[in-house]
Amino acid sequence: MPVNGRSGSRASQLRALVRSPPRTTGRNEALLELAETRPPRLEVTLRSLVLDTGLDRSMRLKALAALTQEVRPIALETLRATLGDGDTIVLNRVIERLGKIGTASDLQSLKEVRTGNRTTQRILRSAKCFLSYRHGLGQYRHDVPSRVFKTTNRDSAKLGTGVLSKSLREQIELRGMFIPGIDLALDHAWRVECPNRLHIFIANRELIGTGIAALTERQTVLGVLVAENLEIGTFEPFFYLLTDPATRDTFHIFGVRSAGWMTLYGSGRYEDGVVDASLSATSHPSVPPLNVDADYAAESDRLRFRRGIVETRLAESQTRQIRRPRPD
Amino acid sequence: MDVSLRSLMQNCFDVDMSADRSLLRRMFGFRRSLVPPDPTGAAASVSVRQLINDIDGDHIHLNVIRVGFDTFTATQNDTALIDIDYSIFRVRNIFRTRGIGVGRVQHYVVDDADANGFADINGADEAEDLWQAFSVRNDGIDAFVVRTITGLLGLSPVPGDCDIDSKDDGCVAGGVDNGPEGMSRTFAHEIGHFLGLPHNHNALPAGPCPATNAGQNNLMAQTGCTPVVGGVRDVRNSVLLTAAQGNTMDDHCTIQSPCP
Repeated sequence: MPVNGRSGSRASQLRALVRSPPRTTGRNEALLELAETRPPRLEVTLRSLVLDTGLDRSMRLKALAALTQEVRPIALETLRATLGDGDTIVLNRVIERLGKIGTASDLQSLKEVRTGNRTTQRILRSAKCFLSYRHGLGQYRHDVPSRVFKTTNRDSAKLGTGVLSKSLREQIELRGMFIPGIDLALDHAWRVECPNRLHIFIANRELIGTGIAALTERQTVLGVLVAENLEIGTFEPFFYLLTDPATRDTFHIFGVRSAGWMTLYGSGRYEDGVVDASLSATSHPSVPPLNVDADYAAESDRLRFRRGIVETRLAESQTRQIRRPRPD
Repeated sequence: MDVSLRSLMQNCFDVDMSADRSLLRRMFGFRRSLVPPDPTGAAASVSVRQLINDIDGDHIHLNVIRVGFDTFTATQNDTALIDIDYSIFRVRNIFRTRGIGVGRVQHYVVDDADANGFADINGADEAEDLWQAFSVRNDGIDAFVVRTITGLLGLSPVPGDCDIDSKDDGCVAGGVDNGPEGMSRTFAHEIGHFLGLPHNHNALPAGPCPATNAGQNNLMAQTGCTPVVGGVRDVRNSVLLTAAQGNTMDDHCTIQSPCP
């Protein structure tokens, strides 16, 4: 929705507001509005905000997020130019975004980043994994969790699936879905109905049809589970499903959050154009115990849940992962 | 009065009478033990009688959890605490209009080293990961306040869950990078979501925004739908709640019965 005519002056107002001192009322909202309305030369403005080390961190982070919503040369150049940033928080975000949208050659740049900061180290490893899976490099991989959490028979609810309705697809197209770096096939998307929320599984386009044979041959991205961001209305990634070959016919599946936490784990088998897969929760408290057994037939392009159950409460071992804030 | 106030502090606000007994800290929940300044320079005041009235009706308790503030300088920290106190002040005034009081407000911290990078939130799934990774075991709403928040201004489940072993028992009430007026409206807006209120219009960017002035000035309008006054979103005044919204909130599981 480009800004033009009368609202062009609004874009100027917003640009001025973004450059106003920190904590000015409406400053953060101005950048959000600017990113949504996409006035001309927005990317140049965003780039200058990111590279301005004299600017406050908050605005640099917001500009960085807005700039890297799409894989564009200016976004990649800006990330590479900021990879040595002195602000650890900005650096963390640069590393994370480079993992999401960088090219295979960016892996070398990430390998050269040296840091003693534990959070940065974790984000760096996650970014290297993302690059490795996205480009099928096989150089970095997620660890298979020592334990997964399947449902018992206590409070459980059904998970359902089905084809995406035309209206839901139109909603996604209308409101936008910012998952750069992966060519997602909205024409190969399925509903995943959870008790409190509708997720949508969108397949990686390169795996559609006979491409699924690659699952047993190299690392790849199976697809992304997206959901509506209830606050701003857009559809955002909630789980990236990454795969890694295991044996001749089988592969691992890792459900990873944006920040790199692995919250789902499962395995799959590929044979004669059919994929059988199962998925459970890890100990991370983002997902309660669940069992999903599904199959996908390439010829008919049909995804079916043979079983889909999720518990409504976390397992005791998962709740032990929840930490208690310190009273102040 | 002194005896009843003491019993009120103990029974309704869980105040440990052997520790700091500052009314402004322990009853009103102001972390700095001061009434926060109004950003416009207008005089701000609170009333013990009003607070007693608030908890004599339906009310909520809040756990305000600051994340990563230990990296702030003393000045930054003080400014951030003023914004948090102002948010508490505003939340009380906003929800009072529909008969929902704010009772006990307790403060908690998560240090930067323990925050797993969540002191600076980028996107909805990170916000969820934060409130799922940390939880206070009491009957208050966990309202996380972070250093910066990107891509959105705050996030809450709609409605939030009262089961502390569920995964939706908290919300990200905002970032202190948003300034006092923006953050305090976001704080109230997210509490509204937690208590079951959806937006009062179709979500942006598709929209449309509410057609009426009253709708645009409703607390549950997205910030991008609030009126623009002098080139800036009027987040200070877009905090109205309807009677129907009050009834919805009244039915939420976290609503506390009148005290004492």
